This record gives sequence, C-alpha cells and structure tokens, in this order.
Amino acid sequence: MDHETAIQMKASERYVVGDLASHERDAFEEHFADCSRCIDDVWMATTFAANARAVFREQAQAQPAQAKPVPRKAFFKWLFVSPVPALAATAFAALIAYQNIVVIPGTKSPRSAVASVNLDGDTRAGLPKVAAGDALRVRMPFDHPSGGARVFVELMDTLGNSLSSGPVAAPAPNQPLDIYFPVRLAPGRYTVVVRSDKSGRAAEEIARSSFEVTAQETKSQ
Amino acid sequence: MEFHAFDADYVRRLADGDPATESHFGAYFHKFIFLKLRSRRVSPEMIEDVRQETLLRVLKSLRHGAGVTHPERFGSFVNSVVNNVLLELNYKNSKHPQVEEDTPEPFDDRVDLDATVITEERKRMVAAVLVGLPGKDQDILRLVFFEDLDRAVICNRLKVEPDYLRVLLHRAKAKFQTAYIKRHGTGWLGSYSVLMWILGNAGVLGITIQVRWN
Repeated sequence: MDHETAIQMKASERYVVGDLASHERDAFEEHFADCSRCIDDVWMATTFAANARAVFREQAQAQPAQAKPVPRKAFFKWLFVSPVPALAATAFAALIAYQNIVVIPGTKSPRSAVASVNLDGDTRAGLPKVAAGDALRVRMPFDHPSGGARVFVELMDTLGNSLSSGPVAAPAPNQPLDIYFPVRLAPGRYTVVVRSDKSGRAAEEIARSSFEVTAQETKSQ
Repeated sequence: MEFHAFDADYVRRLADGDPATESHFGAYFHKFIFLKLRSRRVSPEMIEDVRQETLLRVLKSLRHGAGVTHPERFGSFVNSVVNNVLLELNYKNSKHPQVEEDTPEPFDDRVDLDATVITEERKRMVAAVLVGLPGKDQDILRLVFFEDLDRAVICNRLKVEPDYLRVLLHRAKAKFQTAYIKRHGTGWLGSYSVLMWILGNAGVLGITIQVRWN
C-alpha cells in the first residue's frame, strides 16, 4: 500500500475503528511502519477515539444521575408552585375525616329516647312542653280535605328560622301526622308548620302548632 | 509522495549505537507497536513483552546479524519482527496458559489499553469537537466508539452510507488534530520530521546531538 492509497481510502480512521479487512490492515501496517505522516495520523485517530470513548462513557455515567429525580423534592415541588390545590386537598381531607370519625358514627350509634310531643294546634291554653333530647317526634292531628299524598313540614324557632323542613308522606285518612325531626333542640319555643304540596312545592298553610323545650326533664304529653 | 522515516544513514547510526538514533528508534517503534497491537486487543502486559523482544532482536540483527537489505523499508522490517514475536508469544501462551481456572472474567481491555493516551485535557478537546457536531453525527460517533456497534448496523440504523461514516471520522479527527496542534504545536509529530532532518545532516553540520525522548 502506498501513501496515496492510504489517504484515499482513509486508512488511518478505518484502521483505528477496525474497519479494514485483515489483508488491508496488514498492508497498511507495513506502510505506516515506514511512513511518518501515516503513523502520525493513526496516532491522532487513536487518541481521538480513546478520548471520545472516555467522554461518551462519562456522559453515560452522568446522565442517569442527572435524570434521576429526587423523590421528596419532586413530590412537593407542585406545592410551592401553587398552594391552592394543596390547601383544598387538605380541607377536603379534613372534612372527610370529620365525617368518617364524627358524623357517620354519630348517625349510626345508639341514641337516647326520642322526645315525643302531641300537638293539637295553638288553641290550647298552655304550650306543650318537651324535654331537650337528641331528636324530636311530633304527632299532630291532620285533617286536610285535599287529600294530597305529600305535605311539607317545617320546624322553626321563635325568630322564624327554619331548623328543619321537607316533604313527608301525608297520613291516611283519620290518622295523625307523625313527624320525626333529627335535631337537638335547646330550651326555648318552637313551631311546627304544615303546608300542602302543590306540584312539588310548598303551598298554603294547613296547620301550625307550637311547643316549648325545657331544660328540666318533663313528662311529655 | 512518500514520507519515509528511514534511510541507510539512519540504519548505520543505529547499528553504531548512536544515542540519539537509538532514542528515536525506541520512541518511534514504541508507538508503532502500541498502535499495531492495540488494534488486535492485545493486553498491555503482552504489548510490553513484544516491544522489548522486538527492539532487542532488531538491534541484534543490525549489530551482529545480517542487517537490513532495504534501509528505506526499515519500518517494514521491524513490522515483520513484531509479527514473528507476536506469533511466538501467542504460541507459547497457548501451550502454557497463564490463566488459572478461577481467574475472574476479564473486563473491557480497551480501558487499560487506552489509559496511556487518555488525559483530561484531551478529553476536553474531544468534547469540544463533539459539541460542535450535529446531533446525528454525535450519535454516529457514540455508536462507533462507545457502543462499539458493527459499522453496517450503524449505517442501517441511522440511514447513512459507509462513506459518510468514514468522512465523519476523518473530519472529527482532523478537528481534534487542529485543536491539539494549536494547543501544543506539532509536538512529537512535527519535531520528529525536524529531528530526522537534523540527524540526516548532523555529519554535514558537524554537530553532536544528544536527544532524550520522553
């Protein structure tokens, strides 16, 4: 192999990367053993290849470390970008916890005797009295000529604030209206108002009765 | 145009034991034998063995043997001695394997082989050359040098012709060479040619040369 041939076939580079056939490699070695220019070329290509390999190796070793996220930092990063989702999530979590720990067990747990009172309108001289309890059961006469399937009932305090309201099934003819209010009432005066149902909405008042909740245990009437 | 490194005068000075010529002889063929045996993945220890035995045999041949018939092809003569020494050592090692049964698996031998030519400064120069290349070219060089993939596979994967790969290697090496020479001058590469001229004309110039190669 002469020098021109070695240059034309880029023998130096091909030699270093092992891209020459064995007979070409032997011929090139025989040439560059005597050719100062070619041995310079081979040495330079070898130096480049060896250092390039070292550079790529270091890059490969560095990349996983750079790409590897720090778990805690990545997890909390969103919190510092915008605290609103974090606060909302915390509030929801607290609400759910309260419902699961306090509200739901409270509804499922046994209760003391329900206070019961029979109301027959505000025509009686004295208001019926009922002891404070966990809930209130009200029975009042019902004599409504329209005979609708549902009526609206509402429990109000003395200021007219609605404490509990909603539709209930109307009783059968000649039967009293029996209502259960799941409320804890403080001592004071309360009023139950019954209204007729008109297309799913409360209409005219049918009956109204008041009673008084006392702190002392009082025999219900 | 040939760039002959050797002639009859060089061979004569070497045979006469001229220190500068001996130093050059050792340095030049130190590199030659390294490059030749590196391409064959020969271990660093064996490279050293081949080097010492080759240089010893060549000097013996010049001083006590038949010498060389074509001084201008002195490098080729040394190359043939290297081949013989390598064959003999391989034969000897095959008859008397030095590897014990419980010897662990060898690791990538290129790491050891290349350790002598890798420096932090050269890595920075190579990194600068690589950064200046298009991404696809960087990928090609990574597959060639780091992944050590077969050339045909690389060409097929990246849809390039084999000639493109050779040209890319040539250009990358040339850029590195330019940066290297800019930084260090021609170094041993250029000084070698100057030295050869001085050695060849030492008698005419009437000077005595003492050169120490590192």
